[in-house]
Amino acid sequence: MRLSFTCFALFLTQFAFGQSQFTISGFVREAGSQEQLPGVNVYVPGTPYGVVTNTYGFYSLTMPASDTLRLHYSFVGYEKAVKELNFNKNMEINVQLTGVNQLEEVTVSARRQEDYESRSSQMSKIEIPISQIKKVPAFFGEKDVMKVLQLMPGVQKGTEGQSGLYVRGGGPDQNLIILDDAVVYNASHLFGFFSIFNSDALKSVELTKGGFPAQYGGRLSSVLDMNMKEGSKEKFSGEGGIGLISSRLTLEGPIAKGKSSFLVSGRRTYIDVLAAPLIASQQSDQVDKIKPGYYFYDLNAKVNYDFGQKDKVYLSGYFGRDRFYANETGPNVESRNGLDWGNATATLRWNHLFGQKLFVNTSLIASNFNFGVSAYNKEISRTGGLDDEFSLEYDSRIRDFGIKADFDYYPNTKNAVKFGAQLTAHRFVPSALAIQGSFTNEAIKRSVTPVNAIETGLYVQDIWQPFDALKMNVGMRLSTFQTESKTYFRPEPRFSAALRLAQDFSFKASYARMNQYVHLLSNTGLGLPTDLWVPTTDRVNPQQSDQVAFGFAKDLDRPALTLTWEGYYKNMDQILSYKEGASFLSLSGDNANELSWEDNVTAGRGWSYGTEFLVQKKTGRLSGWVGYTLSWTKWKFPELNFGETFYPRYDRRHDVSVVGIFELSKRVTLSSTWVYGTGNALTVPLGHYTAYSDNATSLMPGAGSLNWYGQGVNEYGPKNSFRAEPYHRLDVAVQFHKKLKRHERTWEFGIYNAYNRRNPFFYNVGREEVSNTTAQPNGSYTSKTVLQRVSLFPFLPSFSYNFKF
Amino acid sequence: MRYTFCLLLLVLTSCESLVNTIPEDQLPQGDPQLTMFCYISPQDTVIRAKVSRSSPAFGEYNSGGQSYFLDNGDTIRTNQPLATATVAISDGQTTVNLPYQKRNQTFEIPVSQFPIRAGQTYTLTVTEGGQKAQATCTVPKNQVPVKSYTLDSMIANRAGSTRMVYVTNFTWDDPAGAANYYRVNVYEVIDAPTFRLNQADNKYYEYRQTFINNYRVDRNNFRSAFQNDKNLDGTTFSSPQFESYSSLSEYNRIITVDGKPVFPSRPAERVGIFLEIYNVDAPYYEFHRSLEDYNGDNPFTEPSLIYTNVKGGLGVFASYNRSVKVIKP
Repeated sequence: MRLSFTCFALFLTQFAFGQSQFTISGFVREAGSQEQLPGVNVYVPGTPYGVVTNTYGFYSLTMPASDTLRLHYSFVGYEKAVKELNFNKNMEINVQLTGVNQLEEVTVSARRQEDYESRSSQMSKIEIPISQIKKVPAFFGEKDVMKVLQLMPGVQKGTEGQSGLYVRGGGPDQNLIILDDAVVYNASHLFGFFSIFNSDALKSVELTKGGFPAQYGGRLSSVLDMNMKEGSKEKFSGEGGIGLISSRLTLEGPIAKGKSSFLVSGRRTYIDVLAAPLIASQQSDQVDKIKPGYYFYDLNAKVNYDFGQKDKVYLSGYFGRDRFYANETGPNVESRNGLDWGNATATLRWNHLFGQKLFVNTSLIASNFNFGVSAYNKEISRTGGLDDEFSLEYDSRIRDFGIKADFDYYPNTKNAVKFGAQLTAHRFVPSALAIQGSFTNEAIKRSVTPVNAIETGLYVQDIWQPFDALKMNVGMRLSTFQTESKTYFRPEPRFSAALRLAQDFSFKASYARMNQYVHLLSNTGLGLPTDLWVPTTDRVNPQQSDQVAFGFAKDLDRPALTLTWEGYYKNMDQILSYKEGASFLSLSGDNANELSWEDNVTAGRGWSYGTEFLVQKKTGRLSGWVGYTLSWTKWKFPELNFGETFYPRYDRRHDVSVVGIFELSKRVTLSSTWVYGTGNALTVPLGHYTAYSDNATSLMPGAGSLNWYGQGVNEYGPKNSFRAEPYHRLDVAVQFHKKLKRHERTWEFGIYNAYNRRNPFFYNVGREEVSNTTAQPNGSYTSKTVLQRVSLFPFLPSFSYNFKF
Repeated sequence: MRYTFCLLLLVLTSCESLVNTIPEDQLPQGDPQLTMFCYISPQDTVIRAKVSRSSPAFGEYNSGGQSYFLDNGDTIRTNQPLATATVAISDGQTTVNLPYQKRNQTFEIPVSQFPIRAGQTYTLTVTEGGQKAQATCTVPKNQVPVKSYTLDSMIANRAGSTRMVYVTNFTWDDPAGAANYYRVNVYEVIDAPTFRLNQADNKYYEYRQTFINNYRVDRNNFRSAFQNDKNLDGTTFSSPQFESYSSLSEYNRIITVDGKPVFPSRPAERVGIFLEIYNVDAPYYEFHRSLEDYNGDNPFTEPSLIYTNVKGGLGVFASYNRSVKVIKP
């Protein structure tokens, strides 16, 4: 290993030139908290020399010697730092950037924008500063990272209020969601209306839609990489908020000043607590008391220790749960019923620096998601006989343990290399059911054999700048998945490039192949916890996608705008869907020797193409963006829609979003979003008829009557041939900031769906009595079958109180 | 003040119902279509077709004395048979019309007048009121015989009492090299005593009567009565477990005459247990499977579509070739 690495390093240093070169490296941190800053541009203006800090704020630049080197460090939301150096030896320079306080931001108008989109070889990437996420109007005032990402072109929401991401025609299961290196399987609270990420605990959020770097793999459509804050190493501080739905509190501070710090962030809903006395008072005269409720909570925690310039250790974790319950107590009855699900992740990371050019992070990762249904019912016998007892437990879970090492190597000016390896051990228990009770004859224990699988990834990529105008990222990822008796081996080539055509104007192109070895089975399209994660098996193949994307990026100085236009084509093979009529609780199928989910799924092909346009302004008094997506998504499954091509539910022709944040004064921030999307493709009845099946039961000889069974059925036409009405909505919010003696507070008032648009949540076939119902001679009546649109959220005002100290 | 009023108005309007009826001009348009259902087999004695027309899913409806039945609490109207339709079956050379039979509300013709042969392709054409619907099917070539079977008796709890019933399952060999679809079925024929009152002398006389007892698929069995040989071509297939729901003793009628029980002179006897393998064609299989999976209107699941092989209409025209094995326990 060591030898091959040395060879590799030697190979890369071949690019070094005759001129004497030195290396400058170090960490970029936030002044005050000492939080390491990822994504900071470190560059020498007017030269091709530049680099971006990695996830841990580390940078390394190798350049020719210079007597007067002016090195710039710039990052959105921070004051630019400039170091003037006599650069004639290797140097280690750590830099601190001062955050632009939101109150002062108003005065810093029309600041030159420094993160030029046109300079990066990466395309199809979205970065949203957390400070901006906190200013965008939110549903019930709950700031949600996923909902803000839905406002970007190429990223769509599902139905009303849902937090799942549909990226370039892919489903919400095709997003690799990673929080501090740990994969999060179910990112939704309350059936998808809220995401599990508490933005107070997050440092960075980055979504990649295409042109994936080789370090990521395992999902088809996107990578959502989130990192938690480390906690301030200087002083103890906190922030929190009280809203209509939940309250949250984040505390951070030093453990050993300058060396070690912690962060703890918690959030919990309290509808159940508020409603409990109300429910109790309504039942005060009843013998049997029922206590229903629902809550969710999540907890993020992180500690770190800085052993000096060379070594740093981080331990972080997430734990969140949703729970629905209904408990009944009475003299003769006792029952407890619940539905609960949640994720838990833990990551231990160790950063190590080998010299100035090689940075290594090693992570130990654990992740768990489980969903359970439990019911217990006991009827106490009045006559002293046996009590009737019944219990049911249903459980489905997925558990991962992983180890991963990522190397960042900066051999010379023209190359920035990343390589690494990852190994994850999965254990799937798709469903386990246990029923016991005195009124079933025998206890039922039905459990699918757990599936163990090993997933590995080995990658190398080089960001190579052969000459000034061309920057490319060439990479290769080798992934394997070992399951049951089969091992899948899949190479994944990756490529992306940016060619500068003019000043701050680039053409970009990319290609990426992705494989997905875990699949989500959902028959609702909603983010329900009943959705089942299942592995690739001997019979179920991995999903595979190929995506090509190309586009242009242009940066303007005055006004400071970034314009991007991209087009893409994505092919998705072996994507899974439930067979028609199948669902998670009724597992049965033909040709099955035992109960198996594999018999209920069917594989097919999907493809998506489209174009995305984005104008973004990240800084200034007025910031925000306008995005537009024109896209097509089609599916073809041999066993769905009788083998004909159809539009999946979330195929969306047009998608528009407008986001504006305006700093009215030092104390008042106004914000607004408007979204428009083509309606979902749905299947609704067109006609009605009686279908006669051959009953295949034998009749009395000579009976002569018809041995058929008639059943009223609907005619739907082709699958998903009905388009729901377009979705559009305006949200507005106003924030009042005030700095008080000891803390800073923000009042926020918001309105969701300001013009009260009745957006469709689902359609329902209903009946209406026709008003002039007069009894007719034969006792018949007149009624009408109608199609009803059911909406979920009308005009919804909300308010919240947020504080920071 | 004016703004406050506007805001109040907005809040008030938002309290309206969140369920809204879609205006008729925005509804999906579906014109009524001809429907036809017909299953043919060399083993059957008659060719029967049910013919009707679908009705629009939405709009006003007058029950006006028509027959309807309840399905999932919703009123579902049955479609009126189209007695005026022309229904013709053809084997490519000969075409005959099926006359309308009022008793079953079907179009029927005996097989003696138009034979159904294995391996032959047939076309059924329905014309009515300017509409024409047509479907084609090919009768499977082989009768697939039962290879082996097991028969066991079991003490089971049926409708509150404990009885001894038979359970059976069987296997067959799939003919290799062709796509095959199957449906399996089991029933038993019982020759049972019965008593009838003779009006002339007001006395009871003992007679024999034949009963059919259809077996049911055990619900805990995950094998279906419908199977196909996709990925299993040429292998041995197994039926699900079939169970009888009644025992032989239930067929022994005992009557009471003048306060005394009268027993039959000869108890009920099992003539045989019939194990049937239908070698069905693809339309037969696809249609019945899609009907089994049909879940009606549920806004949270994707509706499943009902299979049709009818061009210009809806329904199914399908065929099967059946083998029977009779076992006498």
